[in-house]
Amino acid sequence: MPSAPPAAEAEPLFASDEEALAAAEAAYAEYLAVVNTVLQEGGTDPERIRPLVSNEVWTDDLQGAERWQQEGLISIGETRLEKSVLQQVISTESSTEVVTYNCLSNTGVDVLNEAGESVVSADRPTAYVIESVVSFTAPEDWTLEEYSEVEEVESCAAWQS
Amino acid sequence: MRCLAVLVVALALAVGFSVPASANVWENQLDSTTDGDTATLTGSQERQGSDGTESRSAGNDARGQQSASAWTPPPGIPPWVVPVERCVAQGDVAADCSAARPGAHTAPPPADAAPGTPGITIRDVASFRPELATLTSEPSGWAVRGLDANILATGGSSVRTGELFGTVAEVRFTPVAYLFDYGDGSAPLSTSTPGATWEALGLDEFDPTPTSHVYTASGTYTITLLVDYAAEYRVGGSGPFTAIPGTLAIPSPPIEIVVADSAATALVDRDCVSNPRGPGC
Repeated sequence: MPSAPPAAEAEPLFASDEEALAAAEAAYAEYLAVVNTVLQEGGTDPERIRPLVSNEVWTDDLQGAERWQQEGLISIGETRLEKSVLQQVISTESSTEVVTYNCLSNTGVDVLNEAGESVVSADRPTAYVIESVVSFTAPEDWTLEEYSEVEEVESCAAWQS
Repeated sequence: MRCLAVLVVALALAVGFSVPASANVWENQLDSTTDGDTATLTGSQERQGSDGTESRSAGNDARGQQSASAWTPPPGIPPWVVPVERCVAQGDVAADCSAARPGAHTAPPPADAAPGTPGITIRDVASFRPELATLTSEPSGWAVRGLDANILATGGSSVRTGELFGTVAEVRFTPVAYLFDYGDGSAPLSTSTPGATWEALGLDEFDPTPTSHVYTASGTYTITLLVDYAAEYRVGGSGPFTAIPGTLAIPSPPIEIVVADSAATALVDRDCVSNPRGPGC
């Protein structure tokens, strides 16, 4: 009996690690921009985030948005993605997951209550690093699967330099 | 770079260091860090996807612990711990300008300052909250589609007393610019005038004013106002105030306005007898 031909190796979605990193960074930046808008608008209409994220992330983000609504908070300024580095690329038959570390900066961001008073903690870090997992089924078709904080840093400029 | 990134986490795992419980953009803009509110990283950082199995990352362990903790404002939060400096020259609203204009907001010590007195910056006085400007609308709380609604800010200079570098000081805030956002998607109005009532301007109701706005669709809109304040300070309770370069951009509490399709709708519970100056009367 002839043996089955070897399965064709899946064509990699990204030609290089650099390309995967760029795609993941762009995806996270797009997600962050939407989150910033929701924060600046007092947590209203969080459904804007839903198409970009997994159920797990959506659950967390919805809680955040609801708290902004319930406590009458608005954000001034925006959290900025300042640097991303690649951890690894995981390719499966159905998708490609790109794991990155992203350094986010809160410099210049304030959160105000309904009285216009800042409710920001005095020792809030100005920068922190999160690990994110973005899955791609095509270079432009992605979902933020999960994220988690890794560490606080003094600044993104100093991080990994 | 990739190896360094892994190394950072691997070292963190090895020593079991703690990270703040906050893990997402929402929490980290507030940062609920307290002594008893941290999560310890445990577990493996390795991920294996090719064979369909994956171990949970350390960060996920941390997030799992923190998600149960609800944020409450820690005691002793200063009222204004992260001042927002506005880049007026660049047109950026509520942006941090320190990087864009390094040193631009460092004031020289006043001529009569005691030896060793540091230069006062706009950030130093940000904890002295100015009296917030108040948004109001004419007619109060409602408008008619296609007619001017007069939106204005009230509230002028205010002086606050507090401690500055260990010395009692007074800081005077003066509003110098206003950014009205009428909430209907139109471009915000940036102006140096707070506006005034129709009566004060000698105008009739629904006449255009420097800060009025015409809504083109009925509905409920939220109007927001961002005020730029200039600051001056003095110590000792007398003498002239010394200007501090830069401005503080501080939002006022927003208001809502209901825009009706017609004067008849807007005046559904009124008539020209009770409100002879109403629209259509």
